[in-house]
Amino acid sequence: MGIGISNGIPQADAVEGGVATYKKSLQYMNFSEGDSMMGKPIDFVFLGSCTNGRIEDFRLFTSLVKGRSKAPNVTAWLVPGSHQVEKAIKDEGLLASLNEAGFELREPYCSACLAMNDDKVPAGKYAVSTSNRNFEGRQGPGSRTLLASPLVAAAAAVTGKVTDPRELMELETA
Amino acid sequence: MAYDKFNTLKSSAVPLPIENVDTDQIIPARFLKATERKGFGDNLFRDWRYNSDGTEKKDFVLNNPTYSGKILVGGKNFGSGSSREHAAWAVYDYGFRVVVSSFFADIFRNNCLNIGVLPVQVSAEFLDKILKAIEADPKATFEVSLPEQTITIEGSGESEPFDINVYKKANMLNGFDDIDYLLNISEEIKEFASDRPL
Repeated sequence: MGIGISNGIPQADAVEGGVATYKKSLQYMNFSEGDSMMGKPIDFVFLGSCTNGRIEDFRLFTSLVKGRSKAPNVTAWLVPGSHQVEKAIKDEGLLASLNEAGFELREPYCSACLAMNDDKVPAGKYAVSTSNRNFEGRQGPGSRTLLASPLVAAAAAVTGKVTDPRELMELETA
Repeated sequence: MAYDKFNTLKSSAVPLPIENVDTDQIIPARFLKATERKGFGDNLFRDWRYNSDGTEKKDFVLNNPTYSGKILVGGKNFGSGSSREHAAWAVYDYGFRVVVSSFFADIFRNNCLNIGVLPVQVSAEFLDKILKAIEADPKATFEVSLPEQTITIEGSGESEPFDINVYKKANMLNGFDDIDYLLNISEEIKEFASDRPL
């Protein structure tokens, strides 16, 4: 299911697709109906996958973490979608900003989208992920996935919790 | 022949009345790396079937000796999620030849048809009857006739027709995948090609 980051988790009777399935999902995530997403602690951030591993995604992510620091409780996997994207990240100077903020790039791959390699989220841990699938165990057995945009992932990476990126952005005034 | 021919199957069935069973549950990604199709059945429903230490989860239906058979009865929207063909291979390799549901994810359905698993889509009402029949008697048998395109609850005689693409039906009756089909008509292909310019 999808909700706005500043919206609460819906009540079971307000969602489509069956109360039993919904409650099972909440139980898996250890969330409750009516919870606010904001401020929920997270453990991993994954920027990557074919969904959000493009140069635009790395530009957005970098724009928010630049001048800030990765939260110490967060393990961050930044995985370009291709070697072309990886090259562009370096050529555009994004890598320097990312490194200064405490982030490193990994080799282009599927990575934590489906946890076929060692990029696995441990059981019970929360990952803010820019991939597009959050099935049970998708990012490793027992892993808990919050799908999000690159900006939401960036905000979580520097604060260590679910954060509205708009709070960290310098909003233009008219 | 890519897989065993399918004509008519009489079997008991294994109930898995869970909706939206996705391919990550059918076979988790960490078990996809292999050089041949055999062996995926060992990891079918891996994380529902085994604890992290490798011991069996006693409450999962595949570990319950009460239930057995070549028919798997799933809930609505079976096979959703990633398009991994391994999900269908795992179902076949475990020993199921038929999956019954009231709705199949499209890619999973087609993967099944390509590799010898018959997806039988029935009405929600008939699915409920099948599950009730298994609940009443775990050894209840069902007849799935591909030529007739019907599934029958043998105890009550209740039956429902199902749809299947005519080409896939013919292939499954012959045990053909798409390549087998083309090889089987290679003489006709050669003849057709012989009087046409390259």
